[in-house]
Amino acid sequence: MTGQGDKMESERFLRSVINASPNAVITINESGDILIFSRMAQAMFGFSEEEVLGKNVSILMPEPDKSLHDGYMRRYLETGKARIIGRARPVSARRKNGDAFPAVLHISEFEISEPDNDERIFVGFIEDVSRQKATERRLEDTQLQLQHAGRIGAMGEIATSIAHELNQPLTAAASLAGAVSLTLKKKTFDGKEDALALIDDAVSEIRRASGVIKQMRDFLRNRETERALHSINRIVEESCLIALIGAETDGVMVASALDDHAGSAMVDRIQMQQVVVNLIRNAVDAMQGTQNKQLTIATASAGDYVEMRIADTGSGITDEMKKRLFEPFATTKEDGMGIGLSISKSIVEAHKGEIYAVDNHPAGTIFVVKLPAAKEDA
Amino acid sequence: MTSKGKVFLVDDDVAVQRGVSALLKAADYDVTVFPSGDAFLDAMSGLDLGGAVLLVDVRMPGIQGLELQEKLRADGVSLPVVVMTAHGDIAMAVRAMQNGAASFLEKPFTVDEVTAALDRALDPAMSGSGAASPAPAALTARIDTLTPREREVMVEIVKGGANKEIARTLDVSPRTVEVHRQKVMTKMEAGSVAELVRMGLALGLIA
Ligand SMILES: Nc1ncnc2c1ncn2[C@@H]1O[C@H](COP(=O)(O)OP(=O)(O)OP(=O)(O)O)[C@@H](O)[C@H]1O
Ligand SMILES: [Mg+2]
Repeated sequence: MTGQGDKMESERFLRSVINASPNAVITINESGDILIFSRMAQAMFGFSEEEVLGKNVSILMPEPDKSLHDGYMRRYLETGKARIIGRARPVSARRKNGDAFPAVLHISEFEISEPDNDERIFVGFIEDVSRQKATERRLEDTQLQLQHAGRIGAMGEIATSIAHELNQPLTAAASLAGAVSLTLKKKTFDGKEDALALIDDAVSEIRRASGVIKQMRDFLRNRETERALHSINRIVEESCLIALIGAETDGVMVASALDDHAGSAMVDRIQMQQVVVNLIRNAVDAMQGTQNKQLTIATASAGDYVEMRIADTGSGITDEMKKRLFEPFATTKEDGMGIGLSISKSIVEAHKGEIYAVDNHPAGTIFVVKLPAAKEDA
Repeated sequence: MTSKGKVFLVDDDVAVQRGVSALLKAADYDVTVFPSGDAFLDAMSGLDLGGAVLLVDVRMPGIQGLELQEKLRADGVSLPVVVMTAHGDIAMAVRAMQNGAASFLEKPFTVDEVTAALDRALDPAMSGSGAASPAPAALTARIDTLTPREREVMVEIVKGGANKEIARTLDVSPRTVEVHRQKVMTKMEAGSVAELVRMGLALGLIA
């Protein structure tokens, strides 16, 4: 029977697609019995497929969901009212060893109609977000600590905590790559499979590293709660103080040209100070090798925007660097992380503002930050 | 292939465990992984510590790398220790060295860096470069070639300062510090910051 053969072929195909998914894939029938438990699901939950096939899916949940799940399913089958189907949802899941972990669950539903059998199948896609959560928590802690200590200028502290988050996946990836290289160099090389597995792991660690950067941005972007109306001149003045304490400002002339009518903006004060502090520190760094060291800090009102300008007479920025200026880890400094401008851009954009650099004349650079002006309603 | 030595790897990150142990196995070490300092202490009585080295992360939940090291020392366990630190966390590394760590490694590290550090810890007679540890007299001769400024910079490096901090302390520009740092490394014949710190400690540059 060719029909049967085709079916087996397509099942095998489906299997390999399911196993290739970076998320855990689990399918259940209407009674909640597990039908498919993908390779990633096995890694995530610590159960082998045999251990769970035919078992109720609630073994993968901590209480209270564990006891309530049958009820959820019954209600859905009876009423058609879904609480969860079709949307991605944060849930708590449970590993074989009993540990609960945060996950994101997405469920789809399929009807299978065969001559002798009409059945609904539910497919769950599960992403383990425990690492993300831990990273988020640590970033939050660092931010809180900074605020408590009033050490607004210390963007480096955030950088250090990010560096640690990044170091782990980078160490793993670099080590895995090193292992591959050693394995390939061996005379008696028979580990092609192993080498490929190591490379796959290295790639996924590199993804994890880039995930950390993305999260850092999201984190900064989402912090909207602390916003209030602040005078732009005040922010600039305070930032100047912070930036110039402890900076190497020998021979730097500081001039400020603050417009009394520059106005206010809805901003997170600490974050905005971080931006300005970082721009001032960069400006001072850029003037280290130059004779004429003039730092000018200006504010202005420009239509619907308030504007800050930090101008220096330093080295200027090469065309090469201009292309990557706001990318994370783009730096020309021996001890720079190259993270200042990338964080600054995330912060400014989160405030629906703009940040860019233009050449100063005859030499140096001007960084411009524009933020939407707060409306002066009566 | 005979084993180059036993390594007890302690790191809380699963991916790091997998990566570093794969690397060390490929480099012919015998590797046993522990997810925490506590797990290592629990297992320790059943382990043969002869010809082994402890490779431990300084930052972990539960008992930290440094505490673990202090505990081992207090218990009179003689097991060479190599600590792993985050980039730029030299201050932590220096503390570990003061507590008797054989060496430290900044994450992420290369194959050569980790094998050099482990081999040296496993057999102190061999340094990473293959040469014997320089005698105190040789070190003194080298440090005498430093200018007063270079010597100051070396002291600050050994204390764990980053270029920016050293620049602030000595009131010079970070670029100047960098130039001095290069000179110090060359004149002291130090292949890595870890090696320089070890020399500084041997010379009693810091208390
Ligand atoms: N005012 C400026 N003049 C000249 N070059 C600049 C200026 N501001 C930034 N740059 C260039 O852009 C790069 C990135 O700056 P960014 O603030 O993102 O990182 P960094 O200053 O190198 O390191 P850190 O993470 O410590 O801030 C700098 O290394 C420098 O090359
Ligand atoms: Mg910067």
